[in-house]
Amino acid sequence: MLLIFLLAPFGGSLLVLFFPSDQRGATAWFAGAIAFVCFLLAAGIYPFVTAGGVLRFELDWIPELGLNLTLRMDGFAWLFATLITAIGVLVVLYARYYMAAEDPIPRFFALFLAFMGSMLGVVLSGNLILLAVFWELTSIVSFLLIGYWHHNAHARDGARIALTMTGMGGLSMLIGLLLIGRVVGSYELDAVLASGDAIRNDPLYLPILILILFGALTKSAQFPFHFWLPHAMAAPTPVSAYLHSATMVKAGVFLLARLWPVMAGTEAWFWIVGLAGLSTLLLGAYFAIFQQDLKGLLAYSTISHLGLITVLLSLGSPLAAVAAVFHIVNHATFKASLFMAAGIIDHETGTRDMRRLSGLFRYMPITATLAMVASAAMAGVPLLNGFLSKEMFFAEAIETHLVNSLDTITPYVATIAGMFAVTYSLRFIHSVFFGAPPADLPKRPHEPPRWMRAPIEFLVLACLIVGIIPGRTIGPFLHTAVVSILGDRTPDYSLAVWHGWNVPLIMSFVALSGGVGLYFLMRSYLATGIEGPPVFRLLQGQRIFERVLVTLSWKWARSLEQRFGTRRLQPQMLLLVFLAVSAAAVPLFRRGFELPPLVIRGIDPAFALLWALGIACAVGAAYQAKFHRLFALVLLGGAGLITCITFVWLSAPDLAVTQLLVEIVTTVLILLGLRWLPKRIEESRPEDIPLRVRFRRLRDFLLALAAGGGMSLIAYRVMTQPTPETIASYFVERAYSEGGGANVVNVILVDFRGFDTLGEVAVLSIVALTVFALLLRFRPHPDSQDIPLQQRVQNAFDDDHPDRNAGDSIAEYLHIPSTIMRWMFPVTGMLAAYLFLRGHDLPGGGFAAGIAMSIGFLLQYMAGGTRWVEERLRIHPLRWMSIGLLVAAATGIGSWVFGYPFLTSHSQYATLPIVGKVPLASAILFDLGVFSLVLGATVLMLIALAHQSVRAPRAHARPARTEREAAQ
Amino acid sequence: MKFLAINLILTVIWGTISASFTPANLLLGFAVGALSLWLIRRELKPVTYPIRPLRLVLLLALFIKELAVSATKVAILVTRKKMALKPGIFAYPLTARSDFEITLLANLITLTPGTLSVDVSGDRKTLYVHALDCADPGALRQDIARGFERRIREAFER
Repeated sequence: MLLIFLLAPFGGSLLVLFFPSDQRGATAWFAGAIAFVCFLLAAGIYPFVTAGGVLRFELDWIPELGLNLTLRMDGFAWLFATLITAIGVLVVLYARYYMAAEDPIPRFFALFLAFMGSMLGVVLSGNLILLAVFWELTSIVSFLLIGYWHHNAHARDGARIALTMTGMGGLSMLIGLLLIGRVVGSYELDAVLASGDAIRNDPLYLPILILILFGALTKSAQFPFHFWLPHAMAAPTPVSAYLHSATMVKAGVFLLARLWPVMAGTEAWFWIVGLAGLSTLLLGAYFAIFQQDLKGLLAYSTISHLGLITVLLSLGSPLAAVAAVFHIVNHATFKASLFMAAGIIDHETGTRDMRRLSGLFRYMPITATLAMVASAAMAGVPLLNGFLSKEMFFAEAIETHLVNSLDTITPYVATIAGMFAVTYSLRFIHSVFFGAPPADLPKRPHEPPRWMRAPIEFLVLACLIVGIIPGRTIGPFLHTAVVSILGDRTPDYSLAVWHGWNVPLIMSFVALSGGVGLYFLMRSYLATGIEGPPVFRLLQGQRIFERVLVTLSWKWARSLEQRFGTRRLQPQMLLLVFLAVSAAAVPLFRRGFELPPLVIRGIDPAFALLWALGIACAVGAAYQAKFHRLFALVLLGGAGLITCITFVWLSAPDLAVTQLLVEIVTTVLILLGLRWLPKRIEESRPEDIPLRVRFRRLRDFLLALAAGGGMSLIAYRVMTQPTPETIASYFVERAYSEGGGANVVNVILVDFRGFDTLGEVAVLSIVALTVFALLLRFRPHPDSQDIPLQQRVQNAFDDDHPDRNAGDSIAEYLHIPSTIMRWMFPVTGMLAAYLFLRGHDLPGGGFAAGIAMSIGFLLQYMAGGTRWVEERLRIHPLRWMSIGLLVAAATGIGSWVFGYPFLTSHSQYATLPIVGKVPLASAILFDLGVFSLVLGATVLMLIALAHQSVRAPRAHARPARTEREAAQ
Repeated sequence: MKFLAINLILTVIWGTISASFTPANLLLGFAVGALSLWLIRRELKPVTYPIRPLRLVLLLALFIKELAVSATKVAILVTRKKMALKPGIFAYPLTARSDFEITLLANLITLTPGTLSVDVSGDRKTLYVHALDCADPGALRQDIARGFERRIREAFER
């Protein structure tokens, strides 16, 4: 039941996306229906959660990590869920009329429902990690909703700020939750709630507290992280009404209340939460007075009210917690209705600027009356719900909870903030609805459509009823919620309008009269129409935030990029190699490193000679790399071949085959790339080399020696170690019996460690795509931009001979080898097929076959040239790669169908007519995927290189021409 | 069926690389060969020249003979104290026409020690050959014309 409750909004969100964008009515109806069904579900669940009952749903997800899909609904979660769904229904109804015809409606409602689902997820999560997941989801969906009008720069900025702040908070909260999980030993909420003492007495309590509070306070826009909320007002008004007053910003206080039994009651909690709450309460209210934007005023008022709830939660007394929960509900009702009213005003007049609005009462009396009642609730006028929770707040504020200065000033701050609240509420009503008729409004104002006003009417009615007869309406529900938080500590409280003459009532009276007085005192100042409060105007959170962001993400990033970026390859390599050497060296030094004595015996002279040759090749390649690249490459090939022969010698035919093929492909690819390297710098005489350069070379040389020497030392150490009993013998034993192949290496690759191979080939395809993408934007060095000398000579020869066409010489070049290469294509194809087919029992396999086949393509490119090949062969490396990946993955998934774990191999012998018995392992299908992918990846890289020659270097060609023209 | 001959050759190659000439394996080879030919089907032109097996055998015999003779010659040449060599490149006027024949000829020339085909002219009328001892280019030209080229043309030309 809970799962349906949670999944319905997400499912609806996906479905809504498929609605055509001109079907506004149908889309809204559908979204509204989903929200309404959820609301009904919530209502239906109520009997299960009364009197401390808890509804649970559990599903193992990743139990090894303590991550279960636990949904848990108690009274408090129920209250929130009802709030979310009920206001959700109303806001959908409202949005149906609010959104303009040209807005993409399906996207709006899809995001809206997704948000509803994530928010329900937050309140229903019975697992801390799951909670964090949904928490992040709300941040992300909120980002998308704020940025809904993405053509608007304000919306983009607001969305970004909101995401950065809440995202940072979410990450910090996640760390905090993980720490809690460590302390408690479980991420299940029930377990966590049961171990409050353990958490409070843990040495990690303070870090946990700070991390979680950072998350909660950023989400609930508490000072000093409040500034994202006013900027989020760039969102469409339904979003503001829903996310930024009623639900998402309440997630922070929800978390505080949820973890209240576990975390609250300590000095640190009181100080941090109380200080944040009090300053937010006061500053939010103060800032709200000076806003010129209707939604801005409401946003700051929301901040202030959230501060109020936070203060209540900080006090650590059960009564305060009751008041906090009560105020959460009250605030949601009156603030959502006020936002909707502001939206109507914006919609009907075309502006939200209070300097331009006035006297709207005569145009829209009903809306005005509704807004007045709602803002009276906001100000805390008696007979409205805001009054009740505010009274409770005042009563708690004067109680002494802890003896310290913060507790002492709380009542005064509370009264002053209450005064400010009256002032801004009055300002909202007075400046918008009263006074002279408005001049130069973009639209002529009138009452909104009947059903656009309905949600407000409903909410305002709720305010009134709760305000007059609280005990009979909200009472039982509130009790259910409170019991689920406080348990046995639930205090006696009374929800009555009249408690007799007492201090809170006097405080309310002072706030009301003081607020009215303050408003009339400040009218002249407010009339000047300056945006923002005095003094604080200069100190803008957003600007500080932007500056920090610029410094972090632009200045520092750029200097880092300059220092380590790929523009300077040499220092980068130096750093990389240095780090690698140190990473290897540090543990060796700390743990000690002893070398077993070297014993030389039984040297085969032929093998020694072979290796002498290989070493000579390798050293020669290193030496020649600077002076003659082609030489170096040839020598490198020599070293590779020696390695290959060594593999044969040491009876590792698989490695030998692969090494040989890889060697060929690498050499050819480097050869193709060689042409694009810049010209060599001619070496000056040795005595002319500056000291600095010599030092650098010596340093690099030493580092290279250290890396090479270190590597051989480690290799020596590893190889002289007696071979321990490893899984190798296991593989050897079972390769045939379980994998159905005699070639152990191949069976390991495609069967035993098939999952590794799948990952590896995926990496290979990523690498190929990266190479392709990088080369796509490759601009050659100016030196190597021209066509090479040989081609120029050949073209010049064609030009000199009138009987020859341009390009003839190039086409005829190396005629005989290229003819042979063309003939080789089917042969290489056969070789690849051979390697592939025998792979399961003898050296070979998909990888070797893929490389062999790509050599066939390489030969074609070399023989015929890029254009020639592509006119004749169908070359779709991307397609091959994706087919390969799909086949490999599908083989793995296929074993699910038969009820085995991923990638379980199946093998048996099939008897075909004539051919006889043929080993058929499902691994061979997997190997086919590997083959296709390797082929595609290699050919893709080849194409990327080959196309460099075909493509004219446009970016540089143009400036060069203009220079030439200028010279003439 | 147009490329049966090529496919048969590929089948033989398959047998060679998999070192097994059982009928089953050859059948598999034939299938694989057909597959790899199918890949380049658009590039294949039907074979227009007849293949004469007997002449092909003669060509093979000639090649083996030439191989033996010139290997001995070169061996004698290089082991002499005073190497009286006059290496050089000469142009050989081709009478063979098709790409296949030219390539075959050039390869046979290269495979026999002492001579090495260097390049074909653009119009495919001249083959440039490097000879270890190029004292008498005329004689060398005649050797090729009467030897390899004649045999090749007999074997493949219409």
